[in-house]
Amino acid sequence: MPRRVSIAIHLILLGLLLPPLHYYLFNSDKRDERFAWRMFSPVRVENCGTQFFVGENGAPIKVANYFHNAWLDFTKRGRKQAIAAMAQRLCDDNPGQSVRVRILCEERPRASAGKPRLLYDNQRSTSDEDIEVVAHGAFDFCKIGAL
Amino acid sequence: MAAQSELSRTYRKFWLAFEVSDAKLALFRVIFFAVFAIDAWSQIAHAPRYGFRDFNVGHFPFLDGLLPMPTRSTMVLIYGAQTYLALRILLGGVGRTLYVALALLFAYGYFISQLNSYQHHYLLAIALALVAAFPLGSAPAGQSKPQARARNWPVRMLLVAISVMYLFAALSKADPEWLNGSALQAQLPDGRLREIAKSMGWGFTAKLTLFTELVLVFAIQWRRAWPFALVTGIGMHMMFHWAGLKIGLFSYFMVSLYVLLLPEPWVERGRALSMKAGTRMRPVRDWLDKPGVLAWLLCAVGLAAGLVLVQMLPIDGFNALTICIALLAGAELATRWRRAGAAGLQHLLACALLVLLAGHTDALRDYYRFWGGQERRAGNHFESMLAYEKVVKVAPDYLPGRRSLAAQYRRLGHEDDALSQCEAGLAIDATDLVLNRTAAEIYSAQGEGNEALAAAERGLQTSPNDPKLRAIRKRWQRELNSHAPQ
Repeated sequence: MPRRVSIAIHLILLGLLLPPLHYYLFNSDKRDERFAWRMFSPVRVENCGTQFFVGENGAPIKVANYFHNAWLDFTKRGRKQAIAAMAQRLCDDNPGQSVRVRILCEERPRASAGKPRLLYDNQRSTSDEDIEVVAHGAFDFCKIGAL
Repeated sequence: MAAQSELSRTYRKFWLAFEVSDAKLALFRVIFFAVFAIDAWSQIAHAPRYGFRDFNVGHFPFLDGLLPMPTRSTMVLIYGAQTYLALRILLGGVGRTLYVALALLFAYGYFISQLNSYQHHYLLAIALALVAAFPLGSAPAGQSKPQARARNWPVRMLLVAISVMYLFAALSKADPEWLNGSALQAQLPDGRLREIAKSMGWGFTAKLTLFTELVLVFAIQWRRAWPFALVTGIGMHMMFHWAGLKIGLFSYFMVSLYVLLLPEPWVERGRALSMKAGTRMRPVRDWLDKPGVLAWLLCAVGLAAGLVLVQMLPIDGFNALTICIALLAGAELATRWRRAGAAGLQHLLACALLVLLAGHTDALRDYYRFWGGQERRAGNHFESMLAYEKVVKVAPDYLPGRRSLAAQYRRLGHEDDALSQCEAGLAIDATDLVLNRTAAEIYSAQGEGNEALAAAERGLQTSPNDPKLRAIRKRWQRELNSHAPQ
């Protein structure tokens, strides 16, 4: 096999295999299925709800007032990279205020009868006791930069 | 040692001895880029979601600062230019410039925002990068008949990319939720296919899908299994399409990729049939390929006429699109100046097809509709009104457009304009509830009792219990009766 062709073939092969392997080996956000060829995967059965709290007011903000509707689909799928970017935008737009995010993912009722099963809650995903817990039990994204 | 050498030889043969005829590549080019052009144009409808309040999340964080932020106008430009380039390629523009430009524009349009997370667009990005970097080879000079086969490892790589896709798609289904059928049951929309899957058993259908994908991983790479892979793969993807899953043109893209698996004798039979027409066109092609003043004249006329056609498109930012297409055509001409006549003609045909596509799809209507909806939700009612006016202009018979425009006129206090929209809409469908209700309310507020009563009566035929219409009818029946001559 000519050397240049051989290098090209194996580099492209790596390029084809690494993105889906990254999902299985390194990606901590299993709801982010980009580049993993996970068509119709069981993750799609989940139904997530994301609430953003700005300041110390009790009620969550109306997300549609801040972002295009298309981004709301990402919150319904629990896609953390997009949700974190949205939270960061809220921090930038509201300096000095806290931004807290609550993500809850449940199994869709259609898959099984009865009450939906809770699959993910971002407030239970950390054991770091040093993180300041504010109202509603969520963390201030503007301070810790993580969900 | 001998076994290792044999394995190495087989591996080399797998890549380097892969042959594909020029005729098959030509057929693939036409079908694949036809689907591509339709898909790229249909994406224009989604352009308004980009750049809203300057918010975006790229597929890779480093892209956000590196590349320009996508906006509604730039995405119209990107998708419009992609459509033009795909049309040029399917019409025979095989210059490297076109492939590279299309691959770059597509890569930007896909990777710049997670708003486009379609898996098949990722596959397209891979396919276009392959085609742009390693032009699909043609048979060596001297054997340049269409039935001649060239050794073509980039095509093999494209097939390997499809196998990788099927492999990981199958792996993702090796999950209890999928294997017991509950994930499939939750995702399959209502319809005939759902009934069939239900009757076959959810678990069985789910396992069958996984098994089919696994079989295709290997069948696609084994020439003898291609007829089986063709029937199975195309059948599976068309079933996905008919199931009503929201996957855009994914199934059609997969069918276009399966063209590469057509057995050569089948392609040869089709080529022989098309040869007759090709022979008749030969003198025209020879004349077009002849360099000279006439060729340059044809090129200039073709370029100008094509750009005039694009300029006539009723699309926001058409000036920018026209300039972009002119630049792309110029760049391609610079690399193929010896065939100026053919390039000019292909450009004109591509622009004409672009205009045809615009007139026969809902992309433009939906573009303005989504834009109008977004502005309305953001409280920008004047901009929303302007967008809905465009909806009505490009799709005069589309009732939801008339309803939305009438509502926006009312929000801005343009009651007479709202009434005109109601009347125009009711001329299409006299029983439309929303338009009748709007008309009844406006007529009633203006004191036009007879008109208000007539609109209320028409609306109540559709919805007899509508409280607003009942109230208007009651009021005007009472008032008109009290003024009636005794």
